[in-house]
Amino acid sequence: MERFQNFHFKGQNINEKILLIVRRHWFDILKQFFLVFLIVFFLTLFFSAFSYFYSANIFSGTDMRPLVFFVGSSLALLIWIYIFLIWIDYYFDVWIITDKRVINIEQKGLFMRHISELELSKIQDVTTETEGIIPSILNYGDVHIQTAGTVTRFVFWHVPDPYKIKGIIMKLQGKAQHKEIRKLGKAIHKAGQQEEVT
Amino acid sequence: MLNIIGIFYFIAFISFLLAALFVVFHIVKYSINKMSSFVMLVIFVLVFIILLISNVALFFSLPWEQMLDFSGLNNSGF
Repeated sequence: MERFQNFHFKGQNINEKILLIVRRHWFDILKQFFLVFLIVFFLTLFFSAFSYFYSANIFSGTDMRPLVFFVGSSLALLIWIYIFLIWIDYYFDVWIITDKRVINIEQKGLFMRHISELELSKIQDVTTETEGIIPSILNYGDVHIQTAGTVTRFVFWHVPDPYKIKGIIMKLQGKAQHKEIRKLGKAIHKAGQQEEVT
Repeated sequence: MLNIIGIFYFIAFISFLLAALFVVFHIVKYSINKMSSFVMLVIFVLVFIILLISNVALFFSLPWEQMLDFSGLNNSGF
């Protein structure tokens, strides 16, 4: 797809095209940000009330407002960094579907990153799961990809429109398997021709 | 006592810087789209610098000696 031309991941092959990039649904990160917004809201209320009601001469003529603002500034710094840590955890958790494989990149906090991949031809089954009122209304859920093994290899967690993703993967899987069969057919045909020659 | 406050603030300052460096490192190294990583970096770094500078300015503008005198924590030995 042309809109992913500017995207590039480490380990991407030269002829490999990115077809879809999937991240968790926005509601997933909103739940984490909600707490931060709540803290910011109450802190803002507190500091506004403090500035308004505080008397400048309570502590032997020392104005304590600069101290309060300093504490507020330190908290703002902490909150800003924390917001971006949450963002990093969300933004760098990504599933990439190319014309050859599915790649799962999981950012687990700082300095811990898991990358796994699965060839499209090895996919046996894809199932989707949408549980709960909010996921049903907002249309997000999980996509489980099964290979020939008994353990589920890949899970797309809390992704938007899981049915569409399932459809795309199944379509690509079908094409990949068809390609494998044709390759195998050509190899058998070639082997047969060589036997005839000898 | 003033020295101790200074040391604590220095440690906090270095911690803020390190945390910001980690964020920048992750954005630069792991982003799969250069344009979005550039935008994220600009937003993060600009706001961080403004907050850090204001934090340092506020720290140095505080009358620590007066506050410590009032609280009785300031010892002539320090």
